Amino acid sequence: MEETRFLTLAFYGYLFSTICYTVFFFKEFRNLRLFATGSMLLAALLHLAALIIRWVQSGHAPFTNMYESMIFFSFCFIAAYAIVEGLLKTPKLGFLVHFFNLALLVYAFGHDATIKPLMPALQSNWMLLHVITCFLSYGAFAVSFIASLFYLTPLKRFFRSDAALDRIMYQSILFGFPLLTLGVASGAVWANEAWGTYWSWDPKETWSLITWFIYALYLHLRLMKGWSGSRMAWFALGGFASVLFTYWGVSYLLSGLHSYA
Amino acid sequence: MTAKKSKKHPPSESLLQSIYDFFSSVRLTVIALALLIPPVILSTLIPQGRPIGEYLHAYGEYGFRIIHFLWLDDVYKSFWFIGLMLLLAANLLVCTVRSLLERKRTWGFVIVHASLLLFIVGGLLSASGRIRGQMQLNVGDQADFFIAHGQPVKLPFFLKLKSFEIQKYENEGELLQVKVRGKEEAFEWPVQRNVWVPVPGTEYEMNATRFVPDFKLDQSTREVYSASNQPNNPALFVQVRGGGFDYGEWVFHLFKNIHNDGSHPLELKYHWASPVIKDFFSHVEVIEDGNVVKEKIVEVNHPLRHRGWSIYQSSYDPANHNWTGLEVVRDPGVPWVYSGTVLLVGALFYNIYFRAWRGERKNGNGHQSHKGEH
Repeated sequence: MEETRFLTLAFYGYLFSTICYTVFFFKEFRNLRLFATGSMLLAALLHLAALIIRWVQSGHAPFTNMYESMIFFSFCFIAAYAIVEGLLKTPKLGFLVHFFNLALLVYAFGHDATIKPLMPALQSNWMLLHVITCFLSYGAFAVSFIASLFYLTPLKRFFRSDAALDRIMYQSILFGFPLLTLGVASGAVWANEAWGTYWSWDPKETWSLITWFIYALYLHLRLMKGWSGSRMAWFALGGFASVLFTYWGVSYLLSGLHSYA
Repeated sequence: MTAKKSKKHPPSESLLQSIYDFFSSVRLTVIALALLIPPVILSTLIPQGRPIGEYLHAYGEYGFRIIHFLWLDDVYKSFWFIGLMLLLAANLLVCTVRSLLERKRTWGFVIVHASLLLFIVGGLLSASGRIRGQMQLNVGDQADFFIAHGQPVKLPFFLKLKSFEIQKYENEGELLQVKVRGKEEAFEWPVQRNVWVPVPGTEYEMNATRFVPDFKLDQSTREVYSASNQPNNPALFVQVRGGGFDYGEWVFHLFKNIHNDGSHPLELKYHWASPVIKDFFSHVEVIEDGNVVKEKIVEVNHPLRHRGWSIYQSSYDPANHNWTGLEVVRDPGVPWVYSGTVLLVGALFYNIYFRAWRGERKNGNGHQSHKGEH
């Protein structure tokens, strides 16, 4: 089967799990939760299969243009959420996670999906480490963003407590921070291997550093100053805005070494 | 970072204690990071290090004056940016030392902060000591110098270019649109040379047997030849067989609507695309005292390293495949930055994932707070 068929099936799987999570959000049927989580995991497996097929077809890792990176981002978002749901038992978060994920996929489908040849600089194993770790961290930060959205809106009354949402924000950021660090660091090593400079203040590099600063600030304020609650929710929101600008804003508005994705 | 209140001390000691407390405080970390973020954002929005005319054109005279006064046209070399970085470095240093002396923090905490210091030291060493320039060689040439900032810089060895190769992706983007005469649907074929390919739904086969980048026809001999290597008039010779036909015809990228006289069953339209570069390699030798001491194929992502110098594949000339452009770099900051990278990532993963996982296993639940571990 072709990659697009797997991706289409994954999309319908996510659509079904979105409906299940939405109903579950307002009415906590136990069996519905099983359906929601089960269909999400099944859809994620199909999604992974689509990524692997594209990898095999193209002969290179499928994150070398905007379409591929968004499809991968969507997978990382769901993977990060699945981990958070499994560890923190927070299925209600799935409601908005799935809406945003569907929007991301629909937006991705509007992009050119043609497999393009790989330019010389991208033919490096460092790219694998750099992109996978960056997008896994983005996925984790996206989950913290969803938690902060719930926290800052009247929807938070659907959760056990404010502290539960606060904890999701914190744990997701804590999970994503080392991955972002590894992503930025491996990108620096790769740049040094490809161009002989580990840091050139390229807009994407600079914005990834800004994102790192924001989350470093978040962790310092939370761990050392004991900040929590809505102040930290705004921080998580700001951090994810920086992630989005690093990913999309820089690619579309600012030029630089990362202009391909 | 530690936030410890000072005990009562004599005035001089009290001042030192206050300075010590200030430099090891989380407040300083927070302030320094918060102050660094806005100008770094601005540096991505305002072009850096461009000629004055460009700023005057974009922002007007008053805008340029403000930008220049605040060093926003060269943020990373500004005194205030370097000052903030040094303040952050002092904060990290004092905090790390204090953590070691007071033994209140884990090794993970100490290593994370010490590794950030390595980045700052590496960055300063790179900024002050990096040498970077270009070397251009033709096949068979050797040189023991390169050009940096318009000046020749001597190397302690000769570099000789033995050969140079450019690899291209085959058939990338080159298409032949095929339509059976009298039918509506068209079929697009990514061109493969010298391979017989069936035309779907028909009994015909076709084969692209010859390509010329600059088509010319010798009127006396009726021979086709290429006037140059430049793609001024790309053309493809396609042979078709099957269904009682066996013929060949030239199709042109620039003249897509030139067709045969109607006696051929297929309408062909040719779309030529510039070949996409897959990779380029310089086969080089390092020569010392007349002897070859090292040999390597230098390509993008695979530099040559010798005696502290790194040689990178950087450019090529599409019209001259015997020429290579190499980047020569010596950066004393790299070992510091690489060490910092390994330590930072290792300590963060250990502290956040491994310790947290071990802690949760010990506690036997998934609700342990990480507070106090960092």
